[in-house]
Amino acid sequence: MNLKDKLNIYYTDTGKSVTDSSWIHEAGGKTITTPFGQTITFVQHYPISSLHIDDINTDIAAYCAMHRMETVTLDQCVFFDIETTSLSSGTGNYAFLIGLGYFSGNRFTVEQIFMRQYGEEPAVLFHCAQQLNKFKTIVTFNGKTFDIPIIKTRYRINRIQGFPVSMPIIDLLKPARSIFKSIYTSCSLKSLEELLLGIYRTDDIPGYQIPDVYFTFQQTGYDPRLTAVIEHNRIDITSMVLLLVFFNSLYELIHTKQFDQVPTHLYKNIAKHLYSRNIQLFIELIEYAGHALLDNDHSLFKKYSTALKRLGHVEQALIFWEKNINLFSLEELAKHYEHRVKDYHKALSYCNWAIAHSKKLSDNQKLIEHYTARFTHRINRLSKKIQ
Amino acid sequence: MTIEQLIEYLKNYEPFMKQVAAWYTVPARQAVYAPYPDEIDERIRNVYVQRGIENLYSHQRSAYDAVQRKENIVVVTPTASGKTLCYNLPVLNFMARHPDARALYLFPTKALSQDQLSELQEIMKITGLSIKTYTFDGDTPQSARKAIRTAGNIVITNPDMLHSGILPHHTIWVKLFENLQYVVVDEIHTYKGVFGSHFANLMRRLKRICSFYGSHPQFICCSATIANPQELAEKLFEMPFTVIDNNGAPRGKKHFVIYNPPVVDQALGIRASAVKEAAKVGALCVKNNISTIVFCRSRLRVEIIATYLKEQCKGFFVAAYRGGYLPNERRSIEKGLREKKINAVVSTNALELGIDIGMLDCSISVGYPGSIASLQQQSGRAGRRGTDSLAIMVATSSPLDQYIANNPHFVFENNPEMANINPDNLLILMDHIKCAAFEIPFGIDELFTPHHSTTREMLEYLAQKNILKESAGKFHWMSDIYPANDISLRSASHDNVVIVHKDNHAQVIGEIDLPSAPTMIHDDAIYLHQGQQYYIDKLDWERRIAYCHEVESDYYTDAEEKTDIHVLEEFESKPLSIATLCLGEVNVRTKAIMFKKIKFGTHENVGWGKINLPELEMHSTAMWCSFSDEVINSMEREEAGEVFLGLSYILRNIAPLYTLSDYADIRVVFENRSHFTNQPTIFIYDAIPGGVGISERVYHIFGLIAQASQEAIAACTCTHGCPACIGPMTTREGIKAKVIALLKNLHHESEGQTQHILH
Repeated sequence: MNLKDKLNIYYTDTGKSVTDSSWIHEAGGKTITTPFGQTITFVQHYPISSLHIDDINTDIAAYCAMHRMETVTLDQCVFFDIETTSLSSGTGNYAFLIGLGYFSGNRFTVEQIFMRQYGEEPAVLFHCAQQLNKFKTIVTFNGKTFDIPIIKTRYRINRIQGFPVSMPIIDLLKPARSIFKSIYTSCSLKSLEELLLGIYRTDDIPGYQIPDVYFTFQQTGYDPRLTAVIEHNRIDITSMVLLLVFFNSLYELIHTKQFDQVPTHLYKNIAKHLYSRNIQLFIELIEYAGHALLDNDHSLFKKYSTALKRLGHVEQALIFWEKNINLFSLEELAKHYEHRVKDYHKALSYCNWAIAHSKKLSDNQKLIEHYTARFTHRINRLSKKIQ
Repeated sequence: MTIEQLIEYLKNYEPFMKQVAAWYTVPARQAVYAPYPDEIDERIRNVYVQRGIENLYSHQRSAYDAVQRKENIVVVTPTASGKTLCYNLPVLNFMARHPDARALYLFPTKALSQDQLSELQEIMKITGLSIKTYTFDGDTPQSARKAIRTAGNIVITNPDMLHSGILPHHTIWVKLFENLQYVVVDEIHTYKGVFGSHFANLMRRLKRICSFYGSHPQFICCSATIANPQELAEKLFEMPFTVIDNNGAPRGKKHFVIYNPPVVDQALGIRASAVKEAAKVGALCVKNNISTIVFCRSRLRVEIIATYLKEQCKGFFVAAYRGGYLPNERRSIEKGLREKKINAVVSTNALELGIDIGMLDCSISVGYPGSIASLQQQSGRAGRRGTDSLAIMVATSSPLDQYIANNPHFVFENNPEMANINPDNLLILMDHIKCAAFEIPFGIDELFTPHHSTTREMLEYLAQKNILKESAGKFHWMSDIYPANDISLRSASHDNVVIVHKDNHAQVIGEIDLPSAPTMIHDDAIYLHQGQQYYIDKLDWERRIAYCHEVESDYYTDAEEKTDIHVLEEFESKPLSIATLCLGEVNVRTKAIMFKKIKFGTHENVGWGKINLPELEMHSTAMWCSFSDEVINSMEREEAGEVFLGLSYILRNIAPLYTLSDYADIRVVFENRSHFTNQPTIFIYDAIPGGVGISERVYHIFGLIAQASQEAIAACTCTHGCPACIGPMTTREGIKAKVIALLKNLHHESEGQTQHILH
C-alpha cells in the first residue's frame, strides 16, 4: 500500500478545488508590482468632513502630551489594522489583509493590501513597509499585543526588511481601558463606536468568522463574505480616527482644566489615569471634584496623599488628613510628626488613638490587623526614641 | 549498625538467606582522574576545586575534549558519577568567553529543571560570571518571560514547553535561536517509545528552526546505562554521536541481592506478597539505622509500604515520595535526604531520575521495575564513597519477576535493554509535520524526515485536506488552529475519557485513554484510583465522560474483549520448520464483550455483566507466528488450544523484558484460524496506533524471547501452570512440556538471526 492510500485510511475527508478570483477586480482591487512580485490593494477615499475634521494639519498635542510622545499632526499618523488567519498567537498566523489609513490632500484614504495567495506575502509586506515609512506614528487599537507582534513575526519569517521598528505606536485601547474601565462592560472597538461615537455597524461580520472566510476563499477562490471582511477592516480604521480625535479632545479639556465639560462619572478613572502622567493635573481635578471623590476609594485616597507629599504641599496634606481621619491618614500623620517634625509624643498619640479606635475606622478586619501591626511597630520605635 | 555490619548479619540470618535467589558482589573501583584542561576559566575551575573536585574524572575530561572537537556526545555512566559536570564545564567555559552565546537545557521533568537551576545559580554567584540562567516552563510568570527570551544565556525547559510554548513562537526567541551553541539533553534514556518518537520529531523541528536562523548547535546528552545509547541518540537527533562511557568515578563494593518471597501454595504457584516482604526487609534496615530507599511500581504501594515502615520503625523518620505531592513537599523531602535527616524514603520511579538526594546505603526494589536500566538506576541510589552498599530486588509472582529470580544472570550479566523509538510512526510524524508547517512554511523540496518522498507526500496530503496550502513553492499553514495545543508528546492518541464524580461533575477523578476505556470504565465497572474504589455509574461514550461514585466493594471487575486482526500488508517473513514468522501492518478491531466480577482474595467469580460499547479500530505494526499443520495435527483440539494460549501468555510477559517497553505497550492475541494465514496464529502488536517499533524488535529477536520464555517455564515449580509461567487457566497435565517443546524449536531455528542484532 502506498503512503497516500494509507493516509486516506487514517484520515477521511474531501477537499474542494480552486476557481478563479475575478471578483477582486470587480470589487475595485488593483494590482501593484513590487520587487517581490505582485499583490492587490483596495483603495477608498473619504472627504475629511465625513470624519468631522477641518484640517489635516491639526495636531494631537493633548494626546501626545498625555502619553509622553512627541507631538504629531493627523497627517503624520498612519492608522493600522490587520485581519488574520487565526485569533491566537504563534508563527502560523498570517495577516492576509493589512489596512492602512492616512490623510493625503484633503482626503482620508484607506488602503488595504490583500494577500491573494500565501506566496504574495513578501510583496504585501514590502509594500506595507514602504507605506508605513512615509509616516511618523502608527495608530492602532490593541496593536501593542496583537497587530504589531504579528506583523513583526511576518517580516521575520519572510526575511523582509523595512518595518519601522522604532516608530512610536499609539494604542487606543490603553486610554479606552483606563478611562472606561468598570463603566462600560466592554471596551472593544465596536462597543466604543456605539457608546462614544454613536456609530452602529450593520451587517458586520463577527471577528471569529474571519479566518474561515479566508480559508474558503483559498479553497474555492471566492467567499461572498469577503467584501464584508474588507468593509469590517475599513470601518475599524475610520473608527480609530474618530476615537483618536475623541481622546485628544477629552485630553484638551483636561489640560485646559475645563473640568465642567467632562462627564462627572469619569472623574475617578481620569484621575487615576492622570496620576502617573500629570500629577499636577491629578491634584487639580480632585480638588475641583471635591474630596468626596475619594470616599470609599482607598487607592485613590492614597494616591492623592502621595501626590500632595510629592509636590511638597505638606500643609495642604496635613489639613486633608486631619479632615479625613482613617487608618491611612492617621499613619501619615504619625509619620509626619515622627520624621519631619520629630515630635515623637504627638506621633505616639496618633498611633495610640488609631489602635484604640481602629474598629470604628474600618470594618475590614484584615485591614485593621494590617494597620494595627504597623502602628504597634511604630509605637515600639517611638517609645525607644523618647527614652 | 554500619552497612558492612548489616550485610554480615544478613549473610548469617537464615530466614533471609533462605529466600535469596542470588547474591552478586561487584568489587570496589578506584577513581580514574584526569587534569582540568588548561584553557578552563580560572573562576569556573575554582568553584569546582572549592567543592573538593581537585581533578576531573576520566569521563568528564573525555566529554570536554569531545565537545571541543565539535562532536555531539552522549555520556553514559552510572548514577552519581558527576554527569552534570560533563555538560556544565564545556558550556560555562564557552559562555565565559562568549557572552552572547546561548544554550538550551532540556530535562524530562520540571523538578529536574529546578535542580539544575539552583546548581547553575550557585556557580554564577561564586564565580561572579554573568551567565543569565532561567527556567522557562508553565510556572514561569508572564512578567518574567520577555527578559528570559531576550537575555537568557541558558534556558532550562522541558520537551513539552519547547513543543507548545517556544518553537511555535520562535520569532520572539530570535536571540536564542540565532546564537544557540549547545543543546543539553539529560536523561535521554527516558525518550523511548511514544515519548521518544515525539521527541525525535521535536528535535527535527528544533533543528529546522535553528537552521532558519543560521545556527547549528552541538548536542550534549546524558543517559542511564542502556544497550544502545549511540543508536538511540543518533535516532533521536539524526546526527552522528560519540559515546563517552569511560567512567572514572570511584565506587564502593556493591552487594546485589535477589530476594524471592516464600512459596505459600506450591501447586498454584502462589508466593507471599512482595509488598509485605519488602516492608519486612526495609524495616530491618531502618531499625538498624541504615539509610534506605524503597522503590515501588505504583503510588498505592508507596503508601502501603510507607505506612508499614512508619508503624514498625517508631523514632525513625520515614517519608513517602511520589507524583501527586506538592512541589514544596517534594523539595523538603529531597533536602531531608541530602542532609541525612530522613532515614528512609519510599518512592515511585520519580526518584529514579537524577534528582539530587545524596547517596544512601541500601536500595530495595519491589518487583522488577521493567528494565535492567531502571533497576541499575534504582540500585545506583545506594553507595556512598568508601563504604559498601546493598541493593535488593524483591520479586513478585509475575512471570517476569520469577524468570529473573530463576535466571539472575539476566540482570547481572546481560546488557541492559535497547531503547526503541519510531520517529516515522505515521501519526506522530503527521502531528509534527503540522506543527513544523505552522512554525515555518515548508519548501516544496524540503526534507523533514530523511526520506524525501514521505515529507512531500504528507505535505501534499495535508494540502489536499485543506490544512496546508501550496503557494509559490511553499506549503503554508491554512488553519486557525494552534496545532501544538492538540498534540501531547506523552501519548499517541489524542482522545481521552474524563472520569468525574456523578454528583459533582467538576470533581475530576482521573483520565483514561480512549482505547482502554471500554475495558476499564464501562458501565458497572469498579475503577481503582489512588487506592480508592469507584463504581462507574455511566460511561457517556459520545461525550467522553464517565460518571462514578466512591464505593467499598469486595470484588473487582475484569473485562473481556474480542479482537479481530486483519493483515493489511506483510513486510517480510522468515519460514521455520514448524511455523512462519512475519512482520507487517495490521488493522485491529476490538470490542469489549462482557465483564466478570471477581472477589478480592479468593478470586472467585461472583457474577458478570454485558458491555455495550462500540467497536474500536486501530492500525498498527505487528509480528505474527503462524503454526504449520503438523504442529496442530500432533495434538488434540482442546489440548492445542491450551498450548497456544499458554504460549501466548508467556510470550506476552517475557517480550517486554527484551524490548524495553511497558507491559501495556504491546498486546498479544491468539487466533485459532486467522483469516490471513489460515493457520493458528499468535499476533504480537504495538498497542500504540501506527506502532513504535516494539513488535518489529520482537520479530528480530524472537529466538531470544522464545529461549527466555522456555527457561521461565522450565524453572517454575508449579505443576500444571500458574500466573508465573503459562498462566493459571490450564486444566490438563503436560501442557507445560508441550509449550516448552514448541519454544525450544522456535528458539533454535531463529537463534542465528538474532545474535547480530543484539550485539
